[in-house]
Amino acid sequence: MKLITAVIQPHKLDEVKSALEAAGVRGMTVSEASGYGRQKGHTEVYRGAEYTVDLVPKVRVEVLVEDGDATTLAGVVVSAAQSGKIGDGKVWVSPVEDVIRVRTGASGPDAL
Amino acid sequence: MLRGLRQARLAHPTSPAGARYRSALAALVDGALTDLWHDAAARSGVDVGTGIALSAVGSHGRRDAGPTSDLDLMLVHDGQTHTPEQVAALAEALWYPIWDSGLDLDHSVRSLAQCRHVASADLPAAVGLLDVRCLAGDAGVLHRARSAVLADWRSAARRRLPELLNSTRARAERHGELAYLIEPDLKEARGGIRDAVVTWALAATWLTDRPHGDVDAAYEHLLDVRDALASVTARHTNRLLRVHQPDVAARLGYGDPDELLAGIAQSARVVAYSLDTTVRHAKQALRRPSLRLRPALVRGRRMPPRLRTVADNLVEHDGELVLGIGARPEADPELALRAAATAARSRLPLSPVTVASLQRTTSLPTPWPATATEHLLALLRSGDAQIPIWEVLDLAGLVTRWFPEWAAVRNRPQRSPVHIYTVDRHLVQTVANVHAVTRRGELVSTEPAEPAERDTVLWAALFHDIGKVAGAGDHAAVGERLVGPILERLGLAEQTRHDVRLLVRHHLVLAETATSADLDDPAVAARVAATMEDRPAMVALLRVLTEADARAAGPKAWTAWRARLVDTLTARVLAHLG
Repeated sequence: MKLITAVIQPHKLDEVKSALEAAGVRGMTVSEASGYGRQKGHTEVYRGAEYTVDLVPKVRVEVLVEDGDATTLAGVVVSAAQSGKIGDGKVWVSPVEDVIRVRTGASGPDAL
Repeated sequence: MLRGLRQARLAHPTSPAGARYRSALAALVDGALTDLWHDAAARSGVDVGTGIALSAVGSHGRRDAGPTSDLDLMLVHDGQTHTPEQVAALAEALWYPIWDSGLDLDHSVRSLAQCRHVASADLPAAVGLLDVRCLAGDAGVLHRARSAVLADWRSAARRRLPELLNSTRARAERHGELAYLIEPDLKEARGGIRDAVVTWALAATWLTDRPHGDVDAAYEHLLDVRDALASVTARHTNRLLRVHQPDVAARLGYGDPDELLAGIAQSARVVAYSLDTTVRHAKQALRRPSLRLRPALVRGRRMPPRLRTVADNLVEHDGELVLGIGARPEADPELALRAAATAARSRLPLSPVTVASLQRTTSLPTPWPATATEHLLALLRSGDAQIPIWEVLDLAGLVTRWFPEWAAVRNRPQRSPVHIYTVDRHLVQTVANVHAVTRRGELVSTEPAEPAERDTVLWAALFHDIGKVAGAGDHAAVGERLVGPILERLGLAEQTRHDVRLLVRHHLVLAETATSADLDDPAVAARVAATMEDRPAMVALLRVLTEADARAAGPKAWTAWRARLVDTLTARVLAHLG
């Protein structure tokens, strides 16, 4: 099993959710995140004063998938989250040793 | 005897309902325990004719226990008539059959001296002992125990009151406010069953009386809900989970769970207000009476006490705002608003007697006189100080008299994980937050510059969710429609009415756009600007309302993450407008 983690632009969340659901994903975890990559250090002018935005609001999406689906689903996330501009985010895939469904105690792929 | 008592309590007919149902349950249990008492005496060989008694404390002592409540029993002895071995033998003969029957038992064995010692050291035990009731045995022993505990409670009131209030406050912080929770603890939350019992305990100090009437009905209602919950779950629980709400609502005759929660909210608010009032009066009783408040003799003539005038026909009396001698509620329709504004300004609570008098004020003419609107604005501008004032005025029925539309959102639960308040309480909290949001230094450059603009956002805050009525689809659209006639009744200027309607209609635009649109897209900023009629001042007002609204929803609704997005969008909209 794999964990796909995506840090994306907040306004791309709906598109990513829809694309994953269309690809058969039945569950995901979404949380608020802040961070920066190559676009760090841009400035905003607000209320008459210029200020530096060092941590940009993002959304973190996490999906547990079977090994064979990981590459395809990571591609689905990338396609849906992509605007071509700097700050679009990152997607990474990590190995998962085991997954246990709390309600039933089922583990492994049965728990996905 | 006890066999089957657990099932018999659950199966007992629930009609007649309410207090009579609980009295019948108490009689059922009392009968079984009396039989047990005689049986235990025979089995243990202890003469129980004198010097020892079986008693009930807590809810069973009050005859308030429900069908799954635990039994809180105490074996009281005079410490002289029986040996410790005899007392222990009788206790064993009593407790074991109860345990074997599957009933939950909370038990104790105490001499008269131990009763007093425990009551002086353990606050919950002391409150429970105030309601002790003899079930079987020597009633004289129990009478002596109860009299001694009550006498100690009264003589130590000055020392016990802070202890009682601290424990009440800590419990409220731990369990939240019953009136606003979606899955409340009926017993422990603020305004719940235990708060009513604390109110009775305060009255037992003889420092003050407690309110009667409404609070008794509210208490019985909460017990009814607890009993219905017990019947539905067949378990001893006080937590009304969402999953059980439809069944509990149906059992109590409510149309849906929201009606049930609204009914609980109303009862909880009455209980909480009664507790607060009783606490305040108990504290007043413990203070040294002011010389000003005593009638004085001047040159042999009895002079009335001197009371500080706070506003026209409103004076301070012993830390409360009361009506002056010339006040005529029946002839002064603005009196309640003036009293509310004065209470907010002076930070004096309204006396319960004054609140009852204010209920007699006549309806305001339409449109409201400018002075009446100004009094309401003064209340709205007072920040957090207005929250308890709204609470008491609403309980007295004055808010729905001013705004009949308020009734549809009153006590209305919000089934959203981010919301911690009912709709009406959220509206008041939003108004209070406007004060805090606009006072913060960081908002200086966009905060509404003109007082009239500040007032616009206060009106919008008060009514932004007035459209959250049953069956509403787009509550902002419904709210825009409902708020128009309200603003006309208030006699506001046409421009203000227009701006408030605009803010009510679009109060979610900044928050929703900031989290769902590409903020780098110039069209997004242009669209939001157009929504606010390309007026920078309206964008600034919307920014204030957005934060005040989100902060009033709950701690999860306004995060640094969301604030950053909203600020970025606001900056881009203002930049677009030049």
